[in-house]
Amino acid sequence: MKRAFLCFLMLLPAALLAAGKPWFQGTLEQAQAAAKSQNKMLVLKFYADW
Amino acid sequence: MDRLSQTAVLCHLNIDKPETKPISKQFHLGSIPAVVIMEPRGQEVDRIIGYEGDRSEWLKTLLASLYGIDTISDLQSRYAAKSDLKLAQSLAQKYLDRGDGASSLAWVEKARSFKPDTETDSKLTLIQGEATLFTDPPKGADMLMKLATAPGSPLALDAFQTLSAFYKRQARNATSPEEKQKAKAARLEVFHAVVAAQPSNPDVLSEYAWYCAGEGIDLDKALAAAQKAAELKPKDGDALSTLAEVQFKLGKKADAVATIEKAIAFNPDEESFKEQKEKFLKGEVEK
Repeated sequence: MKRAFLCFLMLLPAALLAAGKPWFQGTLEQAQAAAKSQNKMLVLKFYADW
Repeated sequence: MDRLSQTAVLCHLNIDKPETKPISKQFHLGSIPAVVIMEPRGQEVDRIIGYEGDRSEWLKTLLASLYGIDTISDLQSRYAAKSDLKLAQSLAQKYLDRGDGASSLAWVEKARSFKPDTETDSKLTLIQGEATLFTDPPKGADMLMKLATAPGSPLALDAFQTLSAFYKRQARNATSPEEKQKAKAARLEVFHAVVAAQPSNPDVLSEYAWYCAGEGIDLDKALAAAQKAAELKPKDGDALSTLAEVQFKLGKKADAVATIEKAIAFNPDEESFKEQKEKFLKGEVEK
């Protein structure tokens, strides 16, 4: 199981890199509501302008 | 990312936007960029601090967090099963990343109970200083300043960057012009103290010069610092980029272009250097 997960970790980034960036369009509250209703994890990326 | 979005809702937030500032405080964001991972009902699972760097490695870290590996909960379970220094140190760092200074300090103490070697103890002191910024800011600032100005300290640059980021954050979150000015002055004081204590540290000199160029202050001192940094690290793209920026701010456009071209030659894939050159050629001086 652990080996399968490690393989998954090794292979998935390449696939992810090849894909686009499907970022949620909306406010934090809307993203939280979407995560709850879809029973998905929420990944919040905070960045700044500088 | 498409496949990742099947598992998680991905949301990015610019903390410099006025409407996002309260969220930054709500999450006790110490460093930016930061990624906060939450479970569907809103409980925080983990957070990843810092630039992505190697994107493949970063995505692996993100996926591990999504699967609950190396999260606070996971580390605590492992510590309960078999306590050791490394786990205690990781937990001290994890709580610090979460902005929970008190818990971080408690784990620093637990880590110290394992009698760490000098190198690990120094790292714990750095975590302790940063965690203290949350619980007792003046005391934390004092601890970090001592680390940043200690002769030959291997963690001087880390302590300096942490302290500099702390005042930068204070300036950003200031609620009045006076408060903002006070934070900026404190940050400049840190730069002056650390540059005086580490006059041959190219990274410190470069950071000071970059800051001055950004603020449009002390440009002659910034030029001297950037030139010295570039002499100490002649093939370092960042040092050359900083020198070019200062030259540009001083109106030395031809010098700036020549210097950034050197940086590009050493780092042909670095897009930001190419953008910098474009900016110089267009003659746009940032204020």
